[in-house]
Amino acid sequence: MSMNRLTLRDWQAEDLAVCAGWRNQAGQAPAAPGAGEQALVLSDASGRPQACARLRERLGLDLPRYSFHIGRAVHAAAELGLFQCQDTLLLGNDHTGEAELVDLAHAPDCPDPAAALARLLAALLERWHALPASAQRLLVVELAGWRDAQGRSPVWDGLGRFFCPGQAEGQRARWGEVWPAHLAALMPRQTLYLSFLGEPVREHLGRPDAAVQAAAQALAEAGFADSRHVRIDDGGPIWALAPRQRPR
Amino acid sequence: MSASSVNDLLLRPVAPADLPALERIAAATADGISSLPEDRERLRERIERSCQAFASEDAASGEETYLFVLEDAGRVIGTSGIAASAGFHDRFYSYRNEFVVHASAALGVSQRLHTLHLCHDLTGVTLLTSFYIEPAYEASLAPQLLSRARLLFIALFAERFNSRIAAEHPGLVDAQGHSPFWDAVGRRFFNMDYAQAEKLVGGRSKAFIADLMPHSPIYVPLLPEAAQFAIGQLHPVGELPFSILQDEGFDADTYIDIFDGGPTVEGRLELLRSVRQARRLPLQAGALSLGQERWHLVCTEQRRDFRALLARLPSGVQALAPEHALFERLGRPPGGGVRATVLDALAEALP
Repeated sequence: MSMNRLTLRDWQAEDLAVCAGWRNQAGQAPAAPGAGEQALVLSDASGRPQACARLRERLGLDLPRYSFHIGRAVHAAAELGLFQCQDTLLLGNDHTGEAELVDLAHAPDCPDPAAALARLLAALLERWHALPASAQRLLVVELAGWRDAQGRSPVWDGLGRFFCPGQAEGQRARWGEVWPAHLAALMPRQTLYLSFLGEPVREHLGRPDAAVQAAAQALAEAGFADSRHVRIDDGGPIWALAPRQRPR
Repeated sequence: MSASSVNDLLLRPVAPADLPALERIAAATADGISSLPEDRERLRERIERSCQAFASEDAASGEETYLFVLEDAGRVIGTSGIAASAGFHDRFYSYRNEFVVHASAALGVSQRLHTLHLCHDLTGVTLLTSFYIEPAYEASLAPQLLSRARLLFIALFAERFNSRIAAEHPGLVDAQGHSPFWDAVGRRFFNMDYAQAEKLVGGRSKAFIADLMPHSPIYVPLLPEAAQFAIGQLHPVGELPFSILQDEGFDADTYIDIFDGGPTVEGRLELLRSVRQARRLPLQAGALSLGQERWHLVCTEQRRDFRALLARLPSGVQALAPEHALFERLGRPPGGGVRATVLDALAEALP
């Protein structure tokens, strides 16, 4: 199917039934846009959605949004010739008040997902840059963290499970957007040194899951870049588009 | 050791002539176990500082370090020491064991987590140091005298010390000298093994190293199992002095060493058993010594000429006659009396 035959339009209530079985860039099923949110759909000639994306102008103002900031601490003693640079994790709400791109998703049978998402993203970013807020705010997007063939997250196994027993799988689906806020209540509030965490955590932190590769590629091509923040459950990367940055 | 040879034991302040004996002891102790440096000049300085501390008429500054030697018929067989103020002029670092509870009512989860907090809690407390006894004497009463006499000394001259007393004990290391705790914690920040770090630091205070350590809590469940197990565990050479202090009533559950995870015990002077049970025995003509005899630790009341020994005295002894044999052994101290504290029942079973 040629991209030219696909049509951009606003989200319609009946799209939800079609999109409910899809997986967005964060690994979840897309939801209907809330008040004040903009959502675009790329549909085929019959009007059936092939891809969707949603824009939230501010995040974390009603429900606290948590992430880990990946920072750096230098422990140095020139006299002893010691210089140790350590990566750290710090729980926080750094992106509160920023804008967010959510539900970037495509139909499982979409013939060219990368092209569909790129076109959709370009249109949504055009709308975003038309808003005065885009001059001041980051536009952030969360991506699902890496999982192995059995669907297990090494970041959860090496960090989260020590603070919240059991598996994280299904928790996002069960709790929705409130899940990270519940989880944050159990996680350390002070700086965590990555060197205290296992090698699998260090290796996979901030690495997107293979299942969201098409979304990651489209986001990267649109100018989204690593924001040194990750999700607190599976260590999925949080990318950001700087204010005033124009789509490529 | 027989009861008669116990009579040959005498604890006294170190003297310059003890330098060769201290060199022998420093060489006999494993790396990182003793606070006696294997360095003649530093040992000489250590002796000088101790002599000054015992003799000084000045008010205590907290910088004083006292070193005692235990001799058997004139031959030095052990050492023990006191640092008046831990971390003097600097901070004294420890990891404090703390348990924090993270809870989420919504998730129905409540997690009790063991954490280690880098702290300065023990800065300024009085430290017991430098315990060493020749292996041949370990199973005798000698270690009791060597360790506990310090407590009576501190109680006698309490104005020169802190009322909180602490002692560090060596943590677990394997046959190759690797400390599992160091490997999991310190090595991350120093990128070298424990022995190398000790050598690098040399005579510096541990505060110097601690400044390079993470100041946020360490969540113990995130550490490798070997390191978790090593927290608060003793190196075998520390078992004897540790058990004596535990018997005194020291708490061993709160603090650990920031490098090897060994237990740092801590207690309040007035609550320690030897101090609680200590009493003054005045000289009294015609004083009778009747009743069932038990082992007592007896010491003089002089700082410069402090002496301590073990003697069998009646349990309820109130005074001693001037002709009592122990006065001769103590060098006929001036002042008209001595301090004594009874050793525990276990001491009766020791050879």
